Amino acid sequence: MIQDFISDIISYSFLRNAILAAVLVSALTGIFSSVVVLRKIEFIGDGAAHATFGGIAFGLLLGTNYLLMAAVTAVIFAVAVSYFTRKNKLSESSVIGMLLPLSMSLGVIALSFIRGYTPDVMGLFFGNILMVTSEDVWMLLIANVIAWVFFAVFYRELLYYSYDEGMAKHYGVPIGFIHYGVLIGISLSVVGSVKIAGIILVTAFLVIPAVTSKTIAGSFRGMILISLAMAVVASVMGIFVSYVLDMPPGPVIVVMLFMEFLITVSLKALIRVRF
Amino acid sequence: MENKILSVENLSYRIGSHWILRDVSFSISRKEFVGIIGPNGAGKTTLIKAIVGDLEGYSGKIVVSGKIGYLSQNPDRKRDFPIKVREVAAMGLYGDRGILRPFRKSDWIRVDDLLRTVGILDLRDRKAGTLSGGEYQRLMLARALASDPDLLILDEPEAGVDEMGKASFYRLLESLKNEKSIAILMVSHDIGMVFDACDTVMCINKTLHCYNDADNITPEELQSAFSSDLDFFIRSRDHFEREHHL
Repeated sequence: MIQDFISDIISYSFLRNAILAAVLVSALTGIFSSVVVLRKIEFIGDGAAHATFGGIAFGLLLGTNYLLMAAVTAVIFAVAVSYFTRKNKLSESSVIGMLLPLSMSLGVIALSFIRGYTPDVMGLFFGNILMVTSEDVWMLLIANVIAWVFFAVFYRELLYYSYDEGMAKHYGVPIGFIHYGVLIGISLSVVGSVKIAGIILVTAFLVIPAVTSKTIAGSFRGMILISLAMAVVASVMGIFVSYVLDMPPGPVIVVMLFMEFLITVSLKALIRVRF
Repeated sequence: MENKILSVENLSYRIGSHWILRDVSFSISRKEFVGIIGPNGAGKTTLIKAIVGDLEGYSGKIVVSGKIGYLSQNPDRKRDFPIKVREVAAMGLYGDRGILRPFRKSDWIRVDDLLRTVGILDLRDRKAGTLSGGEYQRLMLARALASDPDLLILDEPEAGVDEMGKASFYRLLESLKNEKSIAILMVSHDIGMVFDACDTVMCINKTLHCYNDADNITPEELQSAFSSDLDFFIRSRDHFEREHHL
């Protein structure tokens, strides 16, 4: 079974692209998930994903590259959330709660104007590996490199921003730069994840790996690396299981992520009882 | 004049027509330990925020001659956050290093020295969230001391700490004041401890009601600051009188 899977990966470029994209998406969302969970901004992944839908719909209506439109919309969403939160002292949840349905509504209105054939909208909602191209894989690779460099260079700033934003600002940490960097990074990760995870499921990619790793990590660095490992393992297993059982890969990866969480907390509880 | 670390002149702040602080003036010298007391909503934390630079829109003049170390009110302990005690203390050194300049070995040695000073060096590799209330308070103090401040500002540092821990913490502050020649400005609701530990007591309720040596504050001066909260005042005065055998 595994031999067939490997043989098909070699033979079929779509499967190769799918598995590479899944691993890269997992790495990208895995690295940001630690900040998302520690800062308790889980809702932002949902918001960015739904904002992405608005961009995709307008991209389809205008006949332009819809992923580019999605990326622009997601960045506008991130900057708007940050701006309204900081300038008007509104909570992030309130701002996202307003912008999320607004973007969805604009997206649905835009789709209603499209005449004739519309691409696989359901695929955008739940992911579709057949949509992944080699260009997507290259884009995800570049996004990963940028994200990893950002985390490596600003590790200390990200740690203090996540731990105590108020005092970090007091001690001179460039909170505004880090905050915008994180929000834009999360938004672009969401856009990059749409074809694999889909708009509905991408939040799981941004939340579950870090929730799992938080239960066992002893340091921020450890949490990031464990999140990454959890996400990559779940995505490879998810693609494999979905291939063998002929199921959609996005939802299967989410189930794998949740199983990792269950196994981790169970093992931790078991170790605590025995020792 | 050379010893003056902090000078506040005619500090006023209001939100709409509501005055939070009005014409507050005082100064603090090196090796002086000043306690700020006052009822809830008196403007104590607003005064602290103005001094540490976290408040905009006030009028008046604040001059700080030197660095400030700041221990904020009710710091969130974030019990399950994966950050080590050493890393939290090192945060206080960030301003000395700045962006893109990682901590050096000498910085970590300094962090260990600070943790030793506040008595928690043996906990340096523990997760910060697993510390007790008193230990965490000492960690916050180590962080505030990291930048080698001339003025240490503490906003209700005793919150969530038991009586033994409080007494030990105030003894630590007293020794730090003398050993490092720093000035300390502390907001507290624990009036008894303030009178015990501080050299100077400042009573504030929108305006400055008294600012004097702890031994020379009169019950009438306290009453004028706490008049809007009679129960609290009576309890405070009873405590105050017991402590001072009036």
